[in-house]
Amino acid sequence: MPNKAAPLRVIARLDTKNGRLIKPVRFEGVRQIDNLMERVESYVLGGIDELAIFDVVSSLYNTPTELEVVGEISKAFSICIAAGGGVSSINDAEKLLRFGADKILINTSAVKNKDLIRSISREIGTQSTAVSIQAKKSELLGFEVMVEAGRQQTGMAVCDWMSEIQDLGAGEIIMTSVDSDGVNAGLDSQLISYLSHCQVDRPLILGGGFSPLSHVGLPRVIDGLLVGSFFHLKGGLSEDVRASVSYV
Amino acid sequence: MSKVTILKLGVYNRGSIFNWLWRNGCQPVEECGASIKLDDVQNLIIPGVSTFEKLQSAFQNLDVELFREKVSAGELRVIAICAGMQFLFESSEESPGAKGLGLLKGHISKLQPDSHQSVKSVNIGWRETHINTAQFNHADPVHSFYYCHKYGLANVELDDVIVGKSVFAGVEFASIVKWKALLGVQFHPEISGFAADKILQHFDG
Repeated sequence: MPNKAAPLRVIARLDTKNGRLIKPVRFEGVRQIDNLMERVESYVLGGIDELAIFDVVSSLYNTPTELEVVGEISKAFSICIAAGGGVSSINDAEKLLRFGADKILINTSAVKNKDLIRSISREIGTQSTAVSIQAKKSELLGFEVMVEAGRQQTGMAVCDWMSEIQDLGAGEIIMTSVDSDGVNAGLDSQLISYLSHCQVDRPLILGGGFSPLSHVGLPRVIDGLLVGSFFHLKGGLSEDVRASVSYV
Repeated sequence: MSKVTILKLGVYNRGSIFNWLWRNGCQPVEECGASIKLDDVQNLIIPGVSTFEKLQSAFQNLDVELFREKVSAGELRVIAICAGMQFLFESSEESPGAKGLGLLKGHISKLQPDSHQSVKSVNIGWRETHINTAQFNHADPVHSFYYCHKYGLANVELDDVIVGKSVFAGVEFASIVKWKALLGVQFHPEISGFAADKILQHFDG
């Protein structure tokens, strides 16, 4: 039986606010995108592997996560949904799973309360517990872990935090470059180079700034790409994403 | 509209399973192990976003002998997903000391990457699955399904029980198992595209 290398996973990123799809720029400025369900349908038909739904606002203001969006998509499509945004307890995770999420994304709360990763992975298994990391270039640390939608520093180097969360029970890591997010100017090449030197034993997904205009060589440590703006604003297809990267 | 009972596991991907069943015209009902009356259940789903240990707790108050008899007689049709499928076997490296149902022989282990490959220890994504179509009614001998797991039944060959297999990190693992009225799938049929909805035909007998 052939043991082919796994193909690059392409994950469409959806950011929601009050049940609407939005597109943050560098985690801050926001553009509103209409026709959520039509868009999701085009992404699914266009060959994405999975969906990741973030609710930036709930993480900042602790408002309820956009459960309805998760529910609507889960009812209509047969595709894996990872969902997060303000998940700070097993109850928050349970709500997302009750509406239709298959995996839980934890970000800010994992930094504040490391035990959260452990307690969620004990309930739903390591494989379904994903931790998202907002990475920002730092003179001192190489790349630093940021929280609160990329606004607050933590003083932790990205490589060190990845080792720690793997031990705590993270089954997957979703990495986004704060500097490249939403600007469509290409993936963060410095972050890619930095990540290639980290010890990572879990699937690692990279997001922030994907553009088909710049061909990128990816190290094998990266298993997939998280793509937002290119899909929302340019109507791109998954095959365009796969065609513009190659493993080196 | 066929009634399908879902074994309640505390926290699991409940919405996704319910939506899958609703989309396919089934009538899902969730019940915990203690309240399931096996005489009244024809179709049962053991969900998979969970751990071996949690499945053991969920099955604690269920009469496993009666479960086995009903499955053998074809009176209870079961679809066990991911960790649920693993729990059909005897034990798992995920939860040392915990006992599985033991309806199928075998030990669940980590899918260890072989030393020559730089792969991760968790298998997530769409993977080709090779199906023994003589034993399992499926149109294609090779089909892609969505997987999300760290453990599995490793080093298998296709036979009349292991009717589907896939490969991760150089290790061939069981992806579809079938015994009497029991069907176990290592992948997630609820999120493997509409083509995977055919798995629910298992409830039609």
